[in-house]
Amino acid sequence: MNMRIDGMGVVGGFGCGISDLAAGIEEGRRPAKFFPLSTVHGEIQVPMLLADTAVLSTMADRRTLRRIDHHTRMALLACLLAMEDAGISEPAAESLGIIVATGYGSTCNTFDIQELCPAADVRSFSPIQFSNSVHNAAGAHIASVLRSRGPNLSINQFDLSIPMAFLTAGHWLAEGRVDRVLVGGVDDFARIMAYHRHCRFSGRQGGDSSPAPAAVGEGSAFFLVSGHGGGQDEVGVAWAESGFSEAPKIPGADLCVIGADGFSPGEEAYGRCVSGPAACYAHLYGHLPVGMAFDVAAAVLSLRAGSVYASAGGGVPLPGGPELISETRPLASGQIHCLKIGAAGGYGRVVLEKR
Amino acid sequence: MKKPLAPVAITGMGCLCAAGLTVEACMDFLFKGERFPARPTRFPTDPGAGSPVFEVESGFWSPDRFHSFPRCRTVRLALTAAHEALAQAGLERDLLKKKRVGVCIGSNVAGSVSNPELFGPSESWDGGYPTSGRRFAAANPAVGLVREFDLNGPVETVVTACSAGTDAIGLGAAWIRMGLCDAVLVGGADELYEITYNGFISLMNSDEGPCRPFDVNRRGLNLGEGAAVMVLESEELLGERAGICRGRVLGYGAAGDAYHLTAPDPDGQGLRLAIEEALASSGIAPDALAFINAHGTGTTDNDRIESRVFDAVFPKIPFLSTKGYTGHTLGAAGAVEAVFSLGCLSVGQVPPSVGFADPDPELPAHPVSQTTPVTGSAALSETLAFGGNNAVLILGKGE
Repeated sequence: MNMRIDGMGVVGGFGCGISDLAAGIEEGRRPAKFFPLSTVHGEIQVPMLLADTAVLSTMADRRTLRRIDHHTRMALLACLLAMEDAGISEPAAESLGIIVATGYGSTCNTFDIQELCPAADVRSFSPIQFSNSVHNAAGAHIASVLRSRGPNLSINQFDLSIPMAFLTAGHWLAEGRVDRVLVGGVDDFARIMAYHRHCRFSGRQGGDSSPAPAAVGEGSAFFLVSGHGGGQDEVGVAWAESGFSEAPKIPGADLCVIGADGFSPGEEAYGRCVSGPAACYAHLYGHLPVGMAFDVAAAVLSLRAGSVYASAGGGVPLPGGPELISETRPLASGQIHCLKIGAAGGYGRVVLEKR
Repeated sequence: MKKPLAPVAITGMGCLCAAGLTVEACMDFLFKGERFPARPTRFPTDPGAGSPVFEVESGFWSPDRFHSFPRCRTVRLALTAAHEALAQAGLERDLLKKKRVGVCIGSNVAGSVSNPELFGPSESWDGGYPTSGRRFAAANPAVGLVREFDLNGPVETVVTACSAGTDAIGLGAAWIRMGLCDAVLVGGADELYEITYNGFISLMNSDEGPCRPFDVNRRGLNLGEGAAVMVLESEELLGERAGICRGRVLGYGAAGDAYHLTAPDPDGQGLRLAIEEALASSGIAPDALAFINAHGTGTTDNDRIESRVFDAVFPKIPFLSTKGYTGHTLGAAGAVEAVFSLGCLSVGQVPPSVGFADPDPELPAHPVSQTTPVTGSAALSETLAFGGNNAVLILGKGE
């Protein structure tokens, strides 16, 4: 795969922008905070990793933002930050592709139909609510703001959406459909998953010393990618894949950033695939289907800096899993594998490299 | 896009919608010029208001054909279409397991993890909340196909609204060209869904009677449901097993309007760009097309844009809309209409655009109003989606 990462933008519970992500990783932060959540059983306190998009009002026209919901705001902000990181203000309208990956989609909270409280009447929503609920709404708004008339794709393969998005971006560049692609993911905070986490883990016995699972999070990470120009010192995507066969064995010499968050099903598989050094940053960005996008961002930071960063908050509980790096150290290999075991089966992998 | 891309073989097709439960039944139905829209039967609607819909007849699901037992109607629709497509292709389950077979399916409903039926606690979910991954898998047709046929290739659900089925076919064809897969199941599937139904009513985009694409009295769309699946195969696999090529994906193009969330660009610039890319990637000249299968929803703006673009780019090419027979099947529409297009190429004629009776004097080009013979070996099938997504396929006749 011949793809170079020219810029990246991130927003999530850790903050906004690469510097906040880098600081969170370097300092091993666990930024989740407790907030009240209303449920059918009354109010509960749950840890959350929420994204603040206030800065977007200084980067985009207020009229444009007026009818855009939080889901799209996160994605748009990440895209604009990726462009800024790449030093590009106005991409050529017809040569920029957009690929938005999402696990929950914009419907996640739009209609308030998550049964934490009596369900809302789904016949009484507004046209704007409905418009923003359609899965490609974020992609459409991003294209509109950037005036991009290139191909615009939205992918929803739950927690395996990110590798498919990178794979597709690589195909578009290889077939000459576009010169650049803004590719990334976005997911809202899912209240029902926060409730699910509360039910499963809030009553843990005192003798249970295993680290707590990651808080439920939200956010967006986007990457501006282009064809590899043959230059030196570039960070690129060497490979992206996904499938429902058994996950691949990761070469022992390479670092693997695993997408384990401590309560997604199937995480025991990481132990079978990873025999070398592993890192995990889920405590920084939280449990969300497109969390792998943040793993890719962390891998890019590592490759840019030549360092492997300690796992956030000591990592997550992984019975039989790989040993997680607990101290920052020099990066020994030029490749980093980001691996996600799918909650519904399957796996996804994105391999980053320094050229 | 600088040069034409290699065509990709289509070896099997399956389709079900309100027009019929198989490709053959659908094609027979189209040429009868009939349609039977009715009120939705699976969710409550306000009496005396709303829009008729095109539901798939209730007995379509045959569980004895399948190893899995999905609860979600969209998955059942996709499995039924895939079963027909694989049977036509002659691809047995054992061979599918040995080859690298991917799945690329367009859908709207399948992407909604918030589907109320799947979200709440229920005894059938072991008394507790199902995890989000299980909910997603239960409602997702691409995962449904992987599980049913034990496939091991890449899996992608495309959620570009009304153009999702078209995009899925175009993207899946690239997987074959790039050597990623030996075969790919591509297409689209969507069931009628209460939120979508009420959403289009809220947008005032629904016709209270049967839809009338391109007609002067058109008032909006009718929703439908259905699925269509195609088997795309590499030339290597096709040669290895001496399969039959029943059509080809010759070209694909996609472009955004960058204009408005729910209204198309009045100049149709995004559609023109998508057409340009599809033609360039196919190497087919505009005047070599046998016909165009338009999106033709029956909404005022959509039909106007298409008519103007057809008049400018394809002044002599006949076009039709099949939405009058099926309703708008959303994520499935592009795939359903691609199958119809190949069916029409095969028989050398296109059916009347049912619902179109009185030409709109404001439109420069009008669809065919009766069964029309067509000549040529390639057709264009296009979709214009919510959010300004435009996607176009150029499809070639099979052997």
